[in-house]
Amino acid sequence: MTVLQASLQAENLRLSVGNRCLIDDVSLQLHSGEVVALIGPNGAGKSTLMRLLTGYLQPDQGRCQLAGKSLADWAPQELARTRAVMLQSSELAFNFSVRQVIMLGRAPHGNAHHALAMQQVMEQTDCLSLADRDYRELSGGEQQRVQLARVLVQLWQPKPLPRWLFLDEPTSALDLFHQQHTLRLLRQLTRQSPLAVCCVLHDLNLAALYADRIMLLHEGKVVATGTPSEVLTAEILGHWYQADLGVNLHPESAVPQVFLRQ
Amino acid sequence: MSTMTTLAHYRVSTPVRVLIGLAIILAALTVIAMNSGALSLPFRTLLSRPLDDNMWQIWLTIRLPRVLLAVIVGCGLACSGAVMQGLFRNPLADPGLLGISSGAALFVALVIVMPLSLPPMLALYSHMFAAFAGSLVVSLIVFTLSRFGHGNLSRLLLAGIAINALCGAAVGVLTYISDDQQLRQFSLWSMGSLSQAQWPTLVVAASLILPACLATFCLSRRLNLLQLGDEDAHYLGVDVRRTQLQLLLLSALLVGAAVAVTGVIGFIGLVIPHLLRMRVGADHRWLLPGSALGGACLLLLADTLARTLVAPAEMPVGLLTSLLGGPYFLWLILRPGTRR
Repeated sequence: MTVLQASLQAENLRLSVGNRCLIDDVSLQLHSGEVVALIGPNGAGKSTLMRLLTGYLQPDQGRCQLAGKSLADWAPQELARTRAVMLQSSELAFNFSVRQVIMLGRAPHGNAHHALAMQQVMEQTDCLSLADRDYRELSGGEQQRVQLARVLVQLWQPKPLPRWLFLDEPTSALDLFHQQHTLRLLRQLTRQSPLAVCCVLHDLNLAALYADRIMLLHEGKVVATGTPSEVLTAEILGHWYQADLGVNLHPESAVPQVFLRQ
Repeated sequence: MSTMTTLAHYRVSTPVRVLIGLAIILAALTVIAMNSGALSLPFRTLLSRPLDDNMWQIWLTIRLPRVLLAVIVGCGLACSGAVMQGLFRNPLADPGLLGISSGAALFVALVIVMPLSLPPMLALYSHMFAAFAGSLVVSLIVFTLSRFGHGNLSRLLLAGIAINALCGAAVGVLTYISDDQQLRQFSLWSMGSLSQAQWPTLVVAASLILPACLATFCLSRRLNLLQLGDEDAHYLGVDVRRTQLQLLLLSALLVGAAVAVTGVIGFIGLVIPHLLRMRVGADHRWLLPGSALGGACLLLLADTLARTLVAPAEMPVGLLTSLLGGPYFLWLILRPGTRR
């Protein structure tokens, strides 16, 4: 497997709406086997960038290639089996059960391997106990777990093919246990299979603990990129977030941990 | 259907049971409806008569087409209601409430008052075509509005009220300028009745409604995916705009065909999918066929009652379904724990 086949390459992406430049000349790569965290202040363009990388929005300029093929050239079903996206929240109007919602993720796969995929993923995501509940009656955090299961089931394949998973703040409504559980799971999946995870995170300490690389976005530009210890410095964060903060070393792992000053 | 095996074992069996139950009820209702009416025509009596007997004539030319028409129109109305609710992601979307039926009615009124000279069979299709055009125009307007309002329910229903009022006023103007014969034709039609049922009407209606229903069944899987929202559905490989347009066209066709032959019959498209969802769940692969069967049962029942309750006269069936559906709709809105 060449590097090209296992990576997403975006070059000089640019997108503006009216006079406002939302994404300004962003180039990046996502390789399978890594967890990349997108961080940045509100309105930095994190979700918009994700929509460009997933093919939901077309850039005004630049191009985005997945496994060596331009996003526009992918057949929709094939693309859906190769990359999945979890949004901040998904609401349903009708009484779908949790199992039915997760099963929607298998739609691009025809009739193959549903039972195995469902069983494995529901165990991994701690959704088995929710299986027969009405999705609408779950708490926000439980709904996020179900949506995570849905996107994982969407990418589940018996063969280890390169796949890409995009998540927009997947932990925003989760309790501590499930934040840890989710990010550990994502990290573990990238280690076991050729999966690339790109994740918008607001919690910088989670990003420091679980991401291999961090990209800091500000007003549509990537202003810092690198390992957690390269990006999460008091100087960089203080400058771009305009917050009064400090950075310590994690007492157990050698990663930075950010704290706010009182 | 190996995909269904993983969809919770108990869920698979329940929808199948409900569908079979509905089919049995429909069959029973059909037999009863064929026997009863202003003139009771039991099969035993019928079979003892020669084929050219008057009773056979009545049964073949009046009773049978009417019963079948009730079944087909009921299918179409309930199915279009279920599709629209799925499309708008809103349990209150109903062709009547959103003004789609009245849009169809307006266009039919236009054709009646300003007729084109066409041969009779085509003239019937021209009603269909007009009703289809009317329901399609209103569907597109309402759907566009719902896009901008982010599916805001009150906006949608207010738009429906406005469109209903507008179409009502326009129909008023048309009746005002129409001559006596047109007025009679129009008022007969607009009462919402199946009494005009004849073989040609039935064939025309069936030739549109049955294929359209089957087509919606084929789209049911994608309609399920649309429930996650446009963006999520896109990520699952659905061509969202195209699917929405196909579904909108089909539901407009269903409403149009139903309105063209029977006038506006309300609430079937609202009540039936809602009841079915409580029994078989929200999976449109079961909900759409179930709604079609349920709608057929309800309209057949209502029409049989309309024919027999005040025999030898008959009530407009639209009146009966509204009497039934109105209170149900109120309950739907007012019941405690309503989410929207």
